[in-house]
Amino acid sequence: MTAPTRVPAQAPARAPSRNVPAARKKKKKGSFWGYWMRAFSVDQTVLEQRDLVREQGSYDYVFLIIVLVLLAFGTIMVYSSSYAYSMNKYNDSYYIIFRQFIFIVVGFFGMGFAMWFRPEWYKRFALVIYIICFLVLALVPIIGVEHKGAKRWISLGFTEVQPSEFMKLGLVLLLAWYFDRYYERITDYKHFWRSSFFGVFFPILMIGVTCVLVIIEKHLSGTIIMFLIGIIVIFAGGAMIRWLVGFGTVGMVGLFLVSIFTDYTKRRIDIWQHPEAYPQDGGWQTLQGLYAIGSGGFFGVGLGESRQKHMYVSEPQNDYIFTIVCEELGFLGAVAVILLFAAFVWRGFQIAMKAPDTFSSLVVMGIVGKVAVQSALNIAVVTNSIPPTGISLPFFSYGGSSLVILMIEMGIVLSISRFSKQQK
Amino acid sequence: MAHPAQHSGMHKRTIAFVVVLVLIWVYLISQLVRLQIADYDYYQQIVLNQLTVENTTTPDRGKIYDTNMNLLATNTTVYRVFIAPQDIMEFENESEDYGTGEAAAKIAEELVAVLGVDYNTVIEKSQKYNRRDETIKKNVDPDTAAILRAFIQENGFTGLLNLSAESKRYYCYGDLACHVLGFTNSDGNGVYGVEATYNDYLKGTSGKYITARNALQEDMPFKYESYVGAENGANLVTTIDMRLQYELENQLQAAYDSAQADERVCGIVMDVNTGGILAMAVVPGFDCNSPYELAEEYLTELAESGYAEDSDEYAKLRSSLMYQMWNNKCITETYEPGSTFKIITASIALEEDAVQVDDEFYCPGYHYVEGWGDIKCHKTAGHGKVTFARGLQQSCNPTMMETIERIGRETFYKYFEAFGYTSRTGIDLPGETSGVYHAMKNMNAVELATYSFGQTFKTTPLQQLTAICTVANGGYLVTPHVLKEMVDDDGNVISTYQDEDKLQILSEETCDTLLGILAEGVATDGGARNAYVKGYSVAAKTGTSQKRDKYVYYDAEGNVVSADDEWVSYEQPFRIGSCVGIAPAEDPQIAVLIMVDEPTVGGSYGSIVAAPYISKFLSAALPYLGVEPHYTEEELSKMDVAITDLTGMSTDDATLYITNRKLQWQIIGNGTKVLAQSPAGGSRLSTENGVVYLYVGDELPETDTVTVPDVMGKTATACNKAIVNAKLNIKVEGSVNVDGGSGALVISQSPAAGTEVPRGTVVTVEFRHTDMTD
Repeated sequence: MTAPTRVPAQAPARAPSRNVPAARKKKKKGSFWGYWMRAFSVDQTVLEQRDLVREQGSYDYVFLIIVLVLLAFGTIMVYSSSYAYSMNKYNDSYYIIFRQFIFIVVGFFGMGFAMWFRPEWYKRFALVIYIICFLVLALVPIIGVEHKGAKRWISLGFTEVQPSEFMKLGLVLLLAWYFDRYYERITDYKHFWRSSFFGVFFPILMIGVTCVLVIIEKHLSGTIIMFLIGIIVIFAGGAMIRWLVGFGTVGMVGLFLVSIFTDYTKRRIDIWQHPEAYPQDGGWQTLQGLYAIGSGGFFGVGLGESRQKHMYVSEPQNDYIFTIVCEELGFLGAVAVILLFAAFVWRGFQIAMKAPDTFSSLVVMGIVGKVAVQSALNIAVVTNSIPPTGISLPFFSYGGSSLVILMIEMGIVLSISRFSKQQK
Repeated sequence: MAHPAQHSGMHKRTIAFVVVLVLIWVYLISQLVRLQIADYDYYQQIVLNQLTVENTTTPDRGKIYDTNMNLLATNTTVYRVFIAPQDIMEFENESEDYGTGEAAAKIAEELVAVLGVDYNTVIEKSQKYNRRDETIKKNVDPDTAAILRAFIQENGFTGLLNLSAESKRYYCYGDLACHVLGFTNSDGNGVYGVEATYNDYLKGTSGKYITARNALQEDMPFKYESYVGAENGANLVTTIDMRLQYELENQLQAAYDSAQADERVCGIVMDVNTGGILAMAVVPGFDCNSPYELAEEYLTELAESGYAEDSDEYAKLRSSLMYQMWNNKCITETYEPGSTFKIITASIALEEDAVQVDDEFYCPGYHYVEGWGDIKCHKTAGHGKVTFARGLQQSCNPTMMETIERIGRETFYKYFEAFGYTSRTGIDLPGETSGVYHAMKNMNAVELATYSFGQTFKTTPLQQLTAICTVANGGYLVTPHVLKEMVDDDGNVISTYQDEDKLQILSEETCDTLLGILAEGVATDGGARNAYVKGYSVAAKTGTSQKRDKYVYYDAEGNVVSADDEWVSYEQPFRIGSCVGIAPAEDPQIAVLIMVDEPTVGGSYGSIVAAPYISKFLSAALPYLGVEPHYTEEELSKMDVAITDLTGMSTDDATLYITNRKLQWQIIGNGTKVLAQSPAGGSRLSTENGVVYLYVGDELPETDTVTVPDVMGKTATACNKAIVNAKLNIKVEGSVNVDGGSGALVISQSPAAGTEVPRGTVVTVEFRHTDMTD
């Protein structure tokens, strides 16, 4: 009796519907994309032997469309908001949007590659990717390039990259890999200390070490984002809630005390509370951002018609791009952006929920969480709901590293979406 | 072995995370509602305020033309020079060539050299580092501005030293028609004259130029500019005739100079048919381009006041003099018109058939009036038996008093009102005042009698002339006005002065009769014979009124002295001498009034201080207006002809030439060719007795001299005789009815008596009837 070696014993146990007809499989193999897919994919048999997944499906087109809409929207806004700045700074209105286009093209390549890779590949190389990111990030204080007093970039000759952006993905991969690997120990809450160590202490140590590297760059907002991403992943991964709540409370109180007792933070808080008292220094950007938002009204002044982008809002294509959205497209446009992010999160979390394994699920959670946290914090900053700090708005803010890494991340999510568990 | 992809709590945790996110999003949207919807107006306003720089573009003020479209008032560009201390400081900080304060010093030096400003003041201003606009000097002319512009470019001081163009009113002829035109204040609004009356039309509508500026105060792309074009003011075409205005001002100045009128001289020329003011002037006037500079006469008065220059009294006097200077006496001050009003009295009488032209009156030198007694005639000896017409020509007061008694109080008052003496004329110039007169119920016999010869009530010169125009235009009361029409910059007429329906007060017959009487008086021995114009028929009437509240004091020799002078010998009430003229009498076109207020030198009668200038004005104005002269035969025989340069001609040709021009000649020396002549070519000689001396031999005019005789005060006959006897030629200045009455006398001669001049030299003499008649 020779059973077909490629048919696992468990196969009959699965629902018949999950069996893909041979004809379709054959067609896939013969296709152009299928060739490349196989070249970078783990052999199907490995997966089957591990009994992890079902058959490969199609990408989540809804998510893809949301991403593309966000990207298109963001690109248009970068063009609109950078127009005056480019003209003023570089005497060429297209300077920034041209570069953004290049980043988008690069980003699409990155996204394409990321989509082709199978989730297992990421799991396999998660630790390596993290270590590379770690080393590069550690090198930044030594070989980094300085802009506006902050050393956060590494020059590649033709362009500069911001390793901390890559590290956000690196950390997500590391934690997802880690939680996937020590899943049982972490979720076995009966063993309190074991669960605490594997699920909370050690991951927080990993997050902390990573954050230290960012803090060295004097990149407060980056650190906060990094920390929050880490927390989101370990929270989703099953870290014991009581610890997180406890640490969270202690952290908040600590932050509150620090902000009260240090002059630097006191001043920042004061600027936050009364930006109009600092119209020139400190409060300028906040004020001008609020003016831009407020003057947009319900319908906005019209696309391209922003007045505040004319050097009132400094570098309007960066962190404060949302203010220009608000000004040009009004309340409607602003809410549309928030709803787009909401849709993104909704679809992203669906993918996470249906992801084939803990690793992919946590990766999606981390990536979508990152976008959610960053967009929420960005809007909170520009509406002066929280003290100002430099957080970019994903898909909208101009910036090469963040855009490219974001699109790679979208590629990863889309790659995972192919392997979503089917609806019953 | 396999564990589920998602641990049991992951779903819940994800939902918790989503809930937190939704809460955050809702909070953020609520923030957007607050900012974008609730506080929209506030933020909108802030953005617009910080974004836009609103410049008002001033429209060009309308130009002012005379009736023939000669430009009287226009706009010119001047520059305001200012420095930007903040930019200078920044420039110095960045520049390698200039240290701190060095660029400022260089600019200051240039400004001192070019504008003549004080060096330290400039330096002081340049140290106001937070300022970007410190004015150095205003009203800098374009040429000077060009020098500074070159300096700025040469040194790269753009933005540090700035020129800003501004529009400034410019009056092409300075003081010409100053009281009619007025002037504008520093805001560019008219404050006097037509500049004030038509300010709303002249100023136009200012435009708005809203530029959006970015945060660096740089211009934004064009689409952010909003431009509401300025609408230039309407151009005024006035009824003023520049030539007539010029001539009137000349004559007023001459009248002012010769009579030394304390209270100024004013004159009006009116188109009798339309009421259009052809000329209107007050002497002394002022320069419209610098209205705040006192005229010379006032400066003298100010200096003689004895006040210290920094005292309050000095400043007060100065400003009151300035207001006096600006006042258009023709419409803002009233006077008792005196005998010129007799035209009105006579016209009413003729219109009402109260008298006939040939009615005889007897003037014993006074007239008894109920409630007063005898009211004297200006000719105290009396005119004796006169016809009504002659009584008017001779300005006989008793004749007029009797006439007005015949007219009756009610009838007279009705006409008095109809002629406009009880209301303003409505001229389109600011500050017009109305007359001072009795209400009818207060008019008793005395008032009525004195009204007949224009005393005890007051009127403005313009009111007086307007009333007299009625006689000149066939009986219609016109509304005097200065505006002819308004045109836009392309010459399209925007609006034309619309005359109201004119009220006919007098019949044409009355007017013709009256004009005939007046013209006859001027041409013969009437009181206004000084107003005679050769070749034209002029209807004129002089007037002299006494100011009943102001006296002039004389010493025994007739010199004016102050009231408290120990040498005061006698006193006389101040007088106002005036004269109105209508020409040509057979078909009146213009009416002229000249009023000399408080003449102090010479006879103070209107016939002496005003009438001659009416004559001079008309003799220039009538030919200009194209009125054909009609000379009498006697006048034709005394015409002036011009002679050409005859030197080089043969004697025969020269004598033939002279004979053809009805002149006489005399040859001096032996020869056949004219070597020299006297008077020189181009001179005008009278055909009555003109002699040309032709030098053909060795003798030349330079050595062949005679002495000019003294002809001052001589009659025409005596003067002619003296000059002809002295082998000189005579030229009569002006056109004077020299034989009327007791005969005109020479009041000036040139060259002066006793001067040695070549034989045949033309002696210019001026005649005037100097007997004190009214």
